[in-house]
Amino acid sequence: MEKSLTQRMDWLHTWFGLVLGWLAFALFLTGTIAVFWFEIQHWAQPELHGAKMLSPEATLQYSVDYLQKVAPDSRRWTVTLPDLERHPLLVLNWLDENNELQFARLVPDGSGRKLTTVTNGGRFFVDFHWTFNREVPDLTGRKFQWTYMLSGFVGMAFLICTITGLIVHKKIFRNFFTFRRQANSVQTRWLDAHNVLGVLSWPFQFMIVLTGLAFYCYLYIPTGMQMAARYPAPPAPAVVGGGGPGMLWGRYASDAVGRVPGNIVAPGNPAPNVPIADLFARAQAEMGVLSSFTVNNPGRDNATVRFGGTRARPDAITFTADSMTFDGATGAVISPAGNTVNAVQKVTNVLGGLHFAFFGGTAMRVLYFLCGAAGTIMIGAGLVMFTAKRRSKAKSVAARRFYELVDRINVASVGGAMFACASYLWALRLLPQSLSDPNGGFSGGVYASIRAVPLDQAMRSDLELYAFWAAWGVAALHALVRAPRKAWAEQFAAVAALCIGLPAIGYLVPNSDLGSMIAAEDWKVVAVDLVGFSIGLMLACAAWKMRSKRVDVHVGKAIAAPALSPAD
Amino acid sequence: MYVLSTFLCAYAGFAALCAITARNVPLVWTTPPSRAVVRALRAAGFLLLALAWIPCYLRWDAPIGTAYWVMNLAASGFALVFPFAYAPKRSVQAGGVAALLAGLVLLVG
Repeated sequence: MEKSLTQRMDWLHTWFGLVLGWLAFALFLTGTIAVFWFEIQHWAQPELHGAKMLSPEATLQYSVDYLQKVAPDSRRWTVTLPDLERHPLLVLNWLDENNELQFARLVPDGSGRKLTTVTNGGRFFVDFHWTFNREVPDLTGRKFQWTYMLSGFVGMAFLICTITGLIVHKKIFRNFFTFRRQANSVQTRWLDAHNVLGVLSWPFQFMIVLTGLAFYCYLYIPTGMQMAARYPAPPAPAVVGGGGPGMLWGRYASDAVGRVPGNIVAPGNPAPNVPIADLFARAQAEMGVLSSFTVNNPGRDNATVRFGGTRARPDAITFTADSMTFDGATGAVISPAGNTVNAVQKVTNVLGGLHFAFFGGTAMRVLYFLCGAAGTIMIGAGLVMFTAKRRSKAKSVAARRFYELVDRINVASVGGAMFACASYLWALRLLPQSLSDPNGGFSGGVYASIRAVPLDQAMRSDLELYAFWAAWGVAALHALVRAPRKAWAEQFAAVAALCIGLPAIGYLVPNSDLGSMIAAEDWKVVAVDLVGFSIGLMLACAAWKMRSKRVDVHVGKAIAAPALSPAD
Repeated sequence: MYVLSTFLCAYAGFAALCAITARNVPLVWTTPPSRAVVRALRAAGFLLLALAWIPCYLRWDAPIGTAYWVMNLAASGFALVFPFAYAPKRSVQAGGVAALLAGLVLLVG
């Protein structure tokens, strides 16, 4: 029998949605949390809490004075200036007399206090969201890696589901505002929730998955990069540390945050330099908020000072950062404000900018978070619907077993991912600071990647990741052995308890409790605590509803199979 | 303030459209609305949704404002649809208040 378009699309939507929805849920969940990754990073570093930050100018002067004291004869200073609004951390790098890289991570309040906590923080959510915490050693796409390919495949499937979802949707306008919460059939209620969430946020869902795929398209379809790798890199314009043209080399050179570029210039003769603060003011007037500066050969006649604008620009949808270079001795402009990226990379960066949501401020990020949460719940509702729709109609024992297995995997996927994320936040708060990597860990911009190290050698950042995966493992095991209906309620209750407890555990470690954070007006920490708490309350309501044993009775028809899903 | 104005304006627009969606008519109206009322509400609804773009434009500029407007439509929609399932009449009536408040907030802010 010939199938209609709708039926074919329905098949695609159902099976791509189910099989890849198990992973898509986790990717959406972490992606949603990652919208606020700077804030979570701040939340995870108690030394920064409540500190009274210096102004950008004072921070600059402080950094220069600090470096002048510890490394006056250095070949290079590199300073990552704090993002005072979102994540106020000052990172100073310099080359010592042996040209070894040294660093100091400081609280930018002028006290000189060092930040010893080395944590994956919120960055974890960003990296899990596309690598599943596997390190990506080759960002050029020349080496195949299944982890990011898998996340790309899930993204592709989700893109297909957004389109097929529109095609199979029955009466999209007629049901535009329809959420029949008291409908007799479980399936209708979940279907309505799934549809309302999906249709209203459809432009966001389509945009977010498309931009995510487009940003790393050269990894997902690596042939172009592999071909390009056969040829030498095109000559780069003579901009100090400016990155080269082209997507491949430009990205590779510029993606390593805080990395010191290799081209060290021999020192010239000692000579008075123009005050860096003056150059800073000039660069700031041209480029707006600055995020970093590099000084080559400070105090010499061949000194150069390069200022970098921020990638996380609040005023434009882009991922491209401008830079400007001065002659440190004369103050002349060596390269004017601008960037060296080509048109293709600029387009990619606009798509990336849309995906990363650095623009528009907190109000914008709240909407990204809401729409992301809507997408996450939509996927969860879709997964539940798969079994709600079929279970009661199962014709054979094998079919019923299959649906029960699907229900178990749903619990492991939905409940497990949430439990893992909540446990991870607990680990961030409760793991002792003393376990931190004394070498500053990955402040140099390495991804939050999991390493296979024995427990006794594991550092704080390793243990945080272990906590995440171990929690997920426990939840998955629980989902496999427990009856699905009970497992749903229990896992939601467990996640709710963890989330509700977030403000409470702040009292167990120094400088993180809610009361003093409110007193110190550190609203980032307060917000993470309270949002976690509110989400916990909602999950608790959901868990409460799931535990009641309401059995759906269709008129004139008794259901033989026991109810398995939280819908009942 | 701009943000609030956008949110309220889009809410009001959705409320007007929601009130005349065939399925919802019996939930909202005691006597079915005349064709003129339906047409007026439909026009008002789409107009309000479009007008919600203006505060976004004023707060940011066209590119960021448009991105915000699109996502705010989702937020306003959710804010209508889920309460509507519990209190249909009041959620729609709130749309009228929201429209007034949206203008007021914009003028004050």
